[in-house]
Amino acid sequence: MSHRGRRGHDRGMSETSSADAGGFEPGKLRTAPTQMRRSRDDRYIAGVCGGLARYLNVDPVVVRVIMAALTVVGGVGIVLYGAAWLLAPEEGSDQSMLESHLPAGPRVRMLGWIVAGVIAVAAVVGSGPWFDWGWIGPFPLLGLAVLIWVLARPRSSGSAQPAAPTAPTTPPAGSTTTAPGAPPPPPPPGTEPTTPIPQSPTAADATGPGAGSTTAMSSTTAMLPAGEGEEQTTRLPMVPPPNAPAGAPPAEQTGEPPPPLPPPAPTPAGPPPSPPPPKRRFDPTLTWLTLATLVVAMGLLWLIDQTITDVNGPIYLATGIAVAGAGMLVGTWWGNGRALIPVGVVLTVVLIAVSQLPVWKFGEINEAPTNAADVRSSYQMGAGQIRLDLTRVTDLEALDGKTIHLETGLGQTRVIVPRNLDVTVFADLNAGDVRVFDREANGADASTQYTDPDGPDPNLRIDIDGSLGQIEVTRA
Amino acid sequence: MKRHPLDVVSLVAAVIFLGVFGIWLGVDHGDLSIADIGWLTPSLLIVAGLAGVAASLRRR
Repeated sequence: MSHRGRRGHDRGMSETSSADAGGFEPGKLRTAPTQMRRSRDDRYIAGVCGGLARYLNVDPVVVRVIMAALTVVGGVGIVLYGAAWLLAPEEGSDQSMLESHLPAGPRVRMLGWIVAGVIAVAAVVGSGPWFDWGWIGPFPLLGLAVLIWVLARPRSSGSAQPAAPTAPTTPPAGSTTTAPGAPPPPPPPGTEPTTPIPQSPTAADATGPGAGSTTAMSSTTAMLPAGEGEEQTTRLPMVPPPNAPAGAPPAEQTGEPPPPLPPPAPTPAGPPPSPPPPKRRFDPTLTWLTLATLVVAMGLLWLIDQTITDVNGPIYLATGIAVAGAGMLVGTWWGNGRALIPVGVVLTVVLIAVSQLPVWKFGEINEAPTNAADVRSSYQMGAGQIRLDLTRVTDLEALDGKTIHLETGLGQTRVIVPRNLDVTVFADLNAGDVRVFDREANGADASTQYTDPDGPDPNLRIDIDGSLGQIEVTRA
Repeated sequence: MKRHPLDVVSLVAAVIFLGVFGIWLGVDHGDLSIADIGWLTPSLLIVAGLAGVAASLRRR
């Protein structure tokens, strides 16, 4: 922990206490989600731990250690850190990064915290024996990283200086556009920043929780303004580039804190009548075009489903992903397709979830066949219940040597076996509870086998599979 | 909708989502098995990232 950081923390605490002394507001609930601010001067990545420590009035080291510990528990720390990055405003600001991009205002913040809490709980559960995330694991984090990356970019030159614009922002516009993940370029010889920025250590210092992954993110973030500047220069050549060469650093850039969001009104400090900063207007044409195409595609699939052949849920989702992806591909050169990214993320997450189901079928199968010919060899349910009662089968000897396969993605599978039938049961469940007569297994990868001792009765083999839920085989 | 300099964010996102669609197609309707997702997904990220790197360098 650096000396600089600690000094900043102390200063911050006195600020907080003086702010708290302002008086009791009975109508206002003070909670971390509403009151916490990201620290400007005590930060390794985005000032989340420093800000939380200030809010709780504890040593930031304690918060950082807890956050690091939570990161080990199913990545909860990373989820919460990312959420706070998006949802907690910086000190001196009332608008979080997410709010500044959405019209809904502060109400979004509470909703966002609730969503983050649910994800965090799911992550804890996911790290336990209940549900194996398997290869899905990195996807939610990937989505979060992309969201932060996109939102953390400054929208226009002077306004909303993002979380950590440090060294990489100072080189002249257009000289550096480096890809995400690449090491930051050395500043060109002549452009050594002469005015050291006191707070916010560079991303390289980051040792906080999740440093491994977030360092890449923050350096990416810091990298972007250069490219942004270039874009603006091409668009509005008469306006001075936002990150002007080091010769004459603009006054607004060194004067902290900058106004939180709306493009700054002409500030008195600035040079006389400076032209308004370039506004990047969002052109929604491509977004609407793509969404309209999406609607057409969904309609066509539905029509196919009604007339030609069955179209199941995953096909709708995958087609949606393809259309959104195509829109983004167009947006690479024409129009702005970035608003489609969240659409693609949501569709992908849902597609991954429903891919866990063996079939696209929901509800209940409840059968009690009365003769062996009616006993199917396979029963499948996506989410729901299968109940197969074999006790009413009159010609049990016809089942001899056969195999029945039952599969339920999400839910319960129950088989009731008559006394005068010998069975061999193989039951496999990714997570949940398996009971085959007197044998039980539960937790992750619950599986069990059972074989009746060889007797005069006919023999039937029963295979049962499932992702999540319960398997029960009983004897009448 | 005007033509603009290559947008790296859109390019990377497009590669990822079209790749997700491709993987789904291969697994659901092609010869790929569920297990193949294990190497296809990381490969997709590598390809998308490399596309982003290349595009960023070219844009400069």
